[in-house]
Order: sequence, then structure tokens, then C-alpha cells
Amino acid sequence: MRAGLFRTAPLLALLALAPRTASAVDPAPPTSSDATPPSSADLVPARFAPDTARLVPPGAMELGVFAPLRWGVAERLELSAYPLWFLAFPNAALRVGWGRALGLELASDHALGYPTPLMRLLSREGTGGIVPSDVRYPQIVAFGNHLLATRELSGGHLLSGRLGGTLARNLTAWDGPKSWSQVEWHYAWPRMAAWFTGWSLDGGLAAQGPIAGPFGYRLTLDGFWFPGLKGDRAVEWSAVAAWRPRPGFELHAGATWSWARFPYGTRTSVPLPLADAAWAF
Amino acid sequence: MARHPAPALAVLALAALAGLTACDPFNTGFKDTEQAVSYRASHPGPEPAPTGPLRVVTWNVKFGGARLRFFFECRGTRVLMTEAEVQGNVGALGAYLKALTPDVVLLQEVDTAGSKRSAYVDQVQLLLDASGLNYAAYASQWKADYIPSDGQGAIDSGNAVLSRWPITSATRHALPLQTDISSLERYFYLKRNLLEVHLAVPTLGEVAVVATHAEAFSKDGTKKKHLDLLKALMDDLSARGLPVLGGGDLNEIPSTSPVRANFPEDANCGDARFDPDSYVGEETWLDPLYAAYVPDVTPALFGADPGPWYTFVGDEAYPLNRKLDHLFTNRGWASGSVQVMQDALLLSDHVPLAAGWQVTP
Repeated sequence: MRAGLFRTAPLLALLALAPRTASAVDPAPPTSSDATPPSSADLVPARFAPDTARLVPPGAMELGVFAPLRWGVAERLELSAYPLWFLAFPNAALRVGWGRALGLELASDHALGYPTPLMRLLSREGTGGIVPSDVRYPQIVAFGNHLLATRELSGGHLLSGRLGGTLARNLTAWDGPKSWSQVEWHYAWPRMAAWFTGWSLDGGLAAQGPIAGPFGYRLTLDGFWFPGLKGDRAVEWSAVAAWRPRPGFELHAGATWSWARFPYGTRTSVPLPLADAAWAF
Repeated sequence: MARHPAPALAVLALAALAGLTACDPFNTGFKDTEQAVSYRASHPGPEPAPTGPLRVVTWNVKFGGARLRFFFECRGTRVLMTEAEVQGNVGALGAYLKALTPDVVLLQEVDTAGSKRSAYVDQVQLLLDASGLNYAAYASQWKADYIPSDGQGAIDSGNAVLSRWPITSATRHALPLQTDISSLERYFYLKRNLLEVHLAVPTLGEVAVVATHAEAFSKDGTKKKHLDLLKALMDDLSARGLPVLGGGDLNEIPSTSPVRANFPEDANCGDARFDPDSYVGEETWLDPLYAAYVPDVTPALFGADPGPWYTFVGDEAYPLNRKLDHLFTNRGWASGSVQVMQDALLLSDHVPLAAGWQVTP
């Protein structure tokens, strides 16, 4: 419990320090130039823009089959979690909107995760055994923090950057060498790295925008760096087409690739399919 | 792409399903014929011309697992080894090999730096360096960037030939795949091979070695196909006038073996995942090789006193009880040179078979 409080304390502190929501009682400062302090008055809510610095509109929600449930708690605060995974992998994230500075919309993401139950489920004999059944996964808490910046280009295209990292701590000891608990394959390897090294860094670029009518696109490029592991970097990229037949629903499909260094060598994945349906309400 | 690890694991599962298709996301496939992987000793030694028979050894080294009991064995639980275990076990294998002073070694179940179970230790390089030999060729028979089963992770394990003299060519010939398993299982399963190696031996010239590890568990006749293809390749090389050595772990016992099923160590093994060995119905499968080539021991000689020829037992608490490892040649063996090193019982589940290969009449 003490460890849990320790992990959530930075989130509470962050919220206390965040710029306050604009209101009639406490109006936002004027934003006559980019040099002025960030203001929540500059926040632009957006639907179906998870890779940008934009938040879900206050009171609104978004949900995808694989994507997280996102809830606009307030103008500058969004809560999210992956409900599909929640029981096995308790997780929650905050997105804090910081307003606009230097022509950029700014936000930060702060995510807590407790992967131990899921990894213990995957520690099993036979097919689906991701970790050997005789290895007991330790208690791990991971804390990810990222700064997001978005610039809207003409034509409604959004270009976003992300930079941050993950801190993690195992609260109980590893069962055998750490490598026994590692998953050395694309996508899992860079996201789990901090569990074994204590920290990892990642950053990325994302673009999204309209193509024609209800069709749009999303492109992402992400890099991961996790010193301390044999195989310490990865790059992922994806291209997705989106179809939004009505404002509250979006289908998207595309492909993702990964290049990564593993203990057994450097590999580039085949293109793997990405597909999801998301609702906003 | 989500930054959360759980969806990433879902992608892993989707990719496992995609393994059913031709896109091979886990890199498990091989071409029908491809060049084997070449190795060179870290500190190469002398390459003197032979002064007598070539000392050849075949040994299934069980990926440096010694007598650790793995999950696919009776009462086994282990999946992965520590690096210290691997270094210790492979070090002992290497020391034993060196003491045998071999010229040519056929290895089966040797892991490379691509195997998580062996702590990513390159056993081919370690054994090459420890044996005092200079060259090696490796042909993987089980390769996957990730096996999403039992926590095995990455695997790269196969056959190797070590040699004192230069390897002039090394080719991996794919063998037929087992058909009595599901497509998904076959995608991740062993893909066995014939490793054809040509050596340039001073004063003797070119000699050919064919190493293999035949199918062990199929019930669909795959093992028979492997044995027949071993013979066919040896026939082809013989027809070219080359001295040929063929063998390895053939997972088959001589026709004169007194026991063909219900081996003592398999009794009372209640583990549902363990499939006891049976060679019933396979009595004639080695006969074509026996008929065409000179074996390390003839079925008649073996049948008269099989004990000293046994090379395998699944549980070290029991005595060795079957001969799975064989050598055949189109030349001959030096008189009295064939030895089974049964004192190596604890270094692997097989013991080495050594012989003096009489290349010239």
C-alpha cells in the first residue's frame, strides 16, 4: 500500500501544479501571443485523436475494442484505461492539457500500470505460455510520463510529437534470471523493458488528418531506447486508414511494422494488421 | 500504436495466428536447400595431415542441458537454463570432446546464440573452441524468433559438423515435415535437415560428411522418410566416388534390439505431456543403410551383446538401454576403433559414439 501511495503521489502533485481550468470565476489569462504562459483557454478538444495533445471533450467518452476508454473529466483533464485488460492488467492514465505555447498545443500523459496479474496468467504450460510455468512473476508497478505537443496544419492535419519514458519498480524479487521473465519479441519487448531496467525512454511522431469525405489517415513513428538490456532499442511505425461514417463512430484498419534489437539479433517484423472500431458518446 | 504493454501482447497473439499464413512472422522457415552457417575457431590450431584413420565422433549434446529434466521429459519441469548452467555443462561437453582427440565431430541438438533456453550462449562456437578443432558448419533444425508456448521464447538449435580441416562446402537440405500435427504446431515445430559437409583433408583430398537428427515422435512415417533420404544423399555422394560418412542421432534402434517399447524409465510416468518411445513396427527401417554401408556395429554383433553399444537412456538413474546414434560409411572402420563412451552418462541424455574412419583401403 505504501508503495502504491508513493507511486500515485507524483500524479497528485502534477495535478496541483497544472494550470487551472478557465471559468467565469477564474478567467484564463489573455493569449495575445505565443510568448504568454500556456492557457487552458487554448485547449482544443478532439475526438478520435489519441496520438495528439488534444483531450476528449469534457463529459464525453471514447471507447475502442482495443483502444482505451477515454473520459473527458474536465476541460484540461482526461482519464483513460484499457477496460479489456483491466482485470488482468490494472491500468489508468491521466492526460493533462496544458494549453498552447510557441504555437503548439501541449499536454502530458501519466500512466500507472500493474502488469503482474497478466504476466502470471501468461506464466503457464503449453500454448500461450509466454513465461515458463515455473517462473513466478514479481510484483511490478510501472509509471509512464510523456509530454505531447501538437500543431494543426492547414487542411485540418494534426502533427504531433511525444517524448517521455517509463519508470518501473519490482516490489518483489525476480524468480531466477530476469531474462526468464522477458518477452523478446516485437512490441512487447520495448514496452516491458523498464520492468527489467527500471527505466526506458521513448518518443514518437504522429500525423492524422482528412483524406476525403469520411476517410482519414493516421501515421505514427515511435522510437524506444532502453539501455541495460541486450538488445536496447526499437522503432515502430504504422499506417492506418480511418473511416468515420458518423461523428461518433470510427473504423480504422492498417498495418504496423517494428524494427528491434533483441538478445538474439536484430529483426524487422513483417507488416502486422491493425484494426479497431471506436465509439464516441 | 498503443504504448501499453497489454495490447502489444495481443499483437503477439495475432502474429501467432498469422503464423498459419505464409508471411512467417516468427522466422521459422527454411528453403529446401541452403548454405549452412560457417564457424571458425577463435584460436585456430594446426591442421596436420592425418597419419591414420580419421577419428570421428557423433554426439547428441541435448543443448547443454546435461541431465536437467525439461518439461517435455518424464517428470520434467525446466524450460530455461541459467548462463552458468549452460557454460558449466557445455564446458564439460567440450572437455570431454577434447579428450577424445577427434578430427570430425557430428553434433545434434546444439544451440546457438539464438536460443533463450540456453541463455543465448553460442554452443557451436564454445564446443568448436573447446574441442581443439578449427572449422564448423551449422544447420538449424528448430528456429523461431519466439515460441509462444511454455515460455520458450527464441530458439535456434540444430546439427553441426566440427572439423580439423577446412570445410569447402556446407549445405542444409530440408527434410520432410511431420504431418500428424496441426498446422500451427508444425509452423513452430522442428524442421529437420541433412547437413552435407565437404572437407579438404590433406593427402586424402575431398571427403563428405552427412549429419542428421531424424524425427523422433511422429507416427506418420516421417522418420522413415528421413532415414531413406539420408541414404539417398549418401548414395549420391558415393556415386561421385567420394568417401562418405553419414550418421548422427537417427532416433532408431537396430533390428536386433531386445527391447522396442516400454523402456524402464518410462514406467509410471504419469505426465500427460510425455510420450513414451516405441520402436515397434520400425524393425526394418535401418535395413537399407545396413545393406548399403558399413555400420559402426552390425545388427548381428549388436544383437549378441547390445549393452556396450547403447547410447541413450532418458533417466540417468537407469542404465543405458538403446542405441539411437549411428555411423555409416562407404569405406570402413579401423579394427577395434568403435567405442561408445558410456561414462559420459551425465553430460547429456546421449553418450558419444566414436570410431576410426578408414578413408583409404
